[in-house]
Amino acid sequence: MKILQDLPDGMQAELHRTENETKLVNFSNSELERVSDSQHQNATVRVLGDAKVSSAQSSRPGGEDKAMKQAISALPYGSRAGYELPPAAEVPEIELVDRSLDDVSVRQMLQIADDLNSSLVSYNPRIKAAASVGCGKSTIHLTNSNGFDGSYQKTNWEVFVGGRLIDGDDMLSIYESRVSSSFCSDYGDLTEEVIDRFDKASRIVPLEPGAYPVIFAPTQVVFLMRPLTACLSGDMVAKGVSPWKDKLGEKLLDDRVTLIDDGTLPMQPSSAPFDREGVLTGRNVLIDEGVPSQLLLDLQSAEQLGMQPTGNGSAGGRGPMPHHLILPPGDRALEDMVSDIDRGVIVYGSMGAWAGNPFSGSVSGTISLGFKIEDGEITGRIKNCMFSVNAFEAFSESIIEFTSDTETKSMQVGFTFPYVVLDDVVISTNR
Amino acid sequence: MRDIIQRALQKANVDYCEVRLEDSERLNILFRGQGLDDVTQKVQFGGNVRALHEGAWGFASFNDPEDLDEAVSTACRQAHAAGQYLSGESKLADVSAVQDEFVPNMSLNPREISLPEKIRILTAYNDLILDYDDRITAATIRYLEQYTRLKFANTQGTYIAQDKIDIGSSLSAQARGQQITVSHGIGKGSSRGFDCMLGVEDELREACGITVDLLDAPPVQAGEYPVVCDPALAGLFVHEAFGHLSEGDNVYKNPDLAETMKLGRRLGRDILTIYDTGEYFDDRGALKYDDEGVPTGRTNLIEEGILVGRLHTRETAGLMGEEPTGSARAINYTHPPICRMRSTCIEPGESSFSDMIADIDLGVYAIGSGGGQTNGEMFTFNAGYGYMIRDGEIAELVRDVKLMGNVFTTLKNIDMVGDDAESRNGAGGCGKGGQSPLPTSGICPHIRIQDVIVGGARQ
Repeated sequence: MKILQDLPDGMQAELHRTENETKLVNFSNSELERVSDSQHQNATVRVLGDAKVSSAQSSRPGGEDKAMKQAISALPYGSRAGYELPPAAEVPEIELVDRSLDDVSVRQMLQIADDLNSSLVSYNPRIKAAASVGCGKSTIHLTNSNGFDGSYQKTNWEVFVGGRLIDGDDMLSIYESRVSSSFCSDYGDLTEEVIDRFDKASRIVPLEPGAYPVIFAPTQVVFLMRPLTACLSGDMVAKGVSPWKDKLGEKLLDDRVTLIDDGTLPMQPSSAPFDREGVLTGRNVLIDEGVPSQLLLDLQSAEQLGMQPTGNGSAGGRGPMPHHLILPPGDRALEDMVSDIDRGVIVYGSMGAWAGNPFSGSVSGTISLGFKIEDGEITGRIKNCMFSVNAFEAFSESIIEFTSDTETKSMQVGFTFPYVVLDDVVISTNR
Repeated sequence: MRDIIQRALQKANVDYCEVRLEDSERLNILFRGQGLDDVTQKVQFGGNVRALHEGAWGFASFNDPEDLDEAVSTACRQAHAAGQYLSGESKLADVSAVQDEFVPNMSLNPREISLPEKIRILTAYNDLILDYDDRITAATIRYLEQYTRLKFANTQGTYIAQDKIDIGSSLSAQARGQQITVSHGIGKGSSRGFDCMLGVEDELREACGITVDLLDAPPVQAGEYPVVCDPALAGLFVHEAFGHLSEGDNVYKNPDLAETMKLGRRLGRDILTIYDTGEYFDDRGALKYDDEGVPTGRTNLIEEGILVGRLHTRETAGLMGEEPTGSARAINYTHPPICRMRSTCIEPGESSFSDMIADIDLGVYAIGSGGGQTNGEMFTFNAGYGYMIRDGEIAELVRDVKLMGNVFTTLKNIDMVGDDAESRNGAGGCGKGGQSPLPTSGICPHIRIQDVIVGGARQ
């Protein structure tokens, strides 16, 4: 790459290029809304010299040269950086491409989305259904002046279905999605799940404010994990923000909490053979039986802390990010957990649980889809309720059990989580 | 370029077609921890084509200007393919064709301030935070600046060349205790100039003082309280709790929701007037024309408690027989425009702050705007921190204040509107439809709401 060869002495540089092609079919309000086709490219240049770093991006074809000039001209004002870009490495193969997606036509996508939409509308014509099907392909190429040169492709297949049912001022929204690197045309179970939840939600039951055993569905466990992963960010540790700054190796949580990050899982959208900086990805045990054991580290935070990078480098000043988080399951099924509870709650959806300061451990959200459990049975939907948990305390003192059932999904990061049952969760609601 | 766009549009074989080209320069500066952490400059060029045929939309986006003709062809083909699944007709509200070139009247052009000078100004703020108190262990300053040149043309004769400027920032302190880390800060932003970033030292010192005090503050106790929201939180409230429900794309094909949101319905008391505007260039989200080439302006949504209007794209206005409001916005060329807010505001009322707390025996004064979410009926917003109100007086500081409510009940429960007003700006934005963060803002007074559910610790 010529722009990397013509660098001034003592300077390092990397060029990261992406090319994306995406097709999307989108139904909303129970009818087709739009068919989209996008082709985008982007180049990001990062330069290091005189212990400083700066970067520039361009989406303009052939914009790398200008980006390089911009990054070099901004380097005297860049942030401090004492690390070296990775050298040449043999990039492992990870299966991330389904060639059959090349043959998927817009017509097929329209048919699948139409079927999803029709399933919901047939179930209840008053539901305003939404369905989308997306198909994409990305090519990622990273090369640097220290000899690293790697590229990989990944494909993406996304299906989303759900709907909104309005009855006066009661607005019930239920959605489910599946994201994978491989094609699948059978989504019957996805629509069945949505319909089952609409069925269960038809009866609204009151709930008194108080503290309850609460079952959090895997999509909600993501929010409970946010304080833990934030505290494990090497960047936040190096900068003195994380309250776990000096607590690596200390027993902080229940023995049952083991948290793993894995960037090498085949056919997972969050997997990659190397991270955004050219460090090979791997499987890292972040919390081992309640003991924080490994930080998420990019080049910068690893250098600052005198540790080795873990392949979690990301773009855009976000610091190190996990790829695919795994919380090992328990031994018993969800239905057994439900039947154990005399009076409790199961939470499938929430709003605003992502907001707030993760370093205080506080996680609270409005329950947008939750059910009351009485005498081991789900008896109806709860409304106007908010849960509040301190994740540090809950994962130390209040775990009842993790289920043997797990879900694998990809949201902002990928995850494979069980349902998590916590005791003494505060539920606030109108008296 | 105008000729090239218009030639491309002539090949469109659909009911309606539009082309949008975007050329933008973006600067991100991030201070995190002890100092400067990231400086990134971005040059983005791209475009998109949207085609409407028999009620169905096709959309194609691209980076290479050479691909414009192909994108017109693709979008038209997609619209025709989609039409097989619809039996509708294309309905766009009529608007006059516009020929205009617009450059905002800048108060202090950020592009005339060098990168080192910007870093010098932000470094001084970073040092102010870190030097404030030993217990402050880190500072976070996010500064973003984007200058965008947009060209928009459609098959109905509109051609607009519009420049837009957006500046957003957040400046916060983090203090670490034995078990937790607390954080608090301020937000600034503008659609006009860099002057929003100058002279914020006093506000920043106040935020640092609160951050240190939060280390010893308990979490708020969960419960149902009368809550006084500060102007920043009132701005978040009006955006999340009501603004999204007033967006026409939520309503236009949903008869049940249209009935719920029927114009003329009383939603609040006489003291409540809410509007959305694209005209406030001192705040984020201002624009002369929206992304369909429709002039923006003030849209009254609630007048004296009565629902009187909603926000529209040309399509939602056309289908509902209402006037377009210039509310079609796309975050960039990779997305089609959808119905969005700009500056969403509450008209000041007549109550002083002391009047608002005087008759509260036990309540919460909730402060700051830390993000929120709605599903139409329910909302959540994160205040960050607050003070308990006891016997009509401001009492102890509390942290981790998050509020929840039912939109319709809460609007009715606003029983006092302050006689003050302040802007809400920051480095974030609205996240609707995956187009995040779109710059928005709001100017609001203090408001008092009865019977709000507050999440927090066990009582």
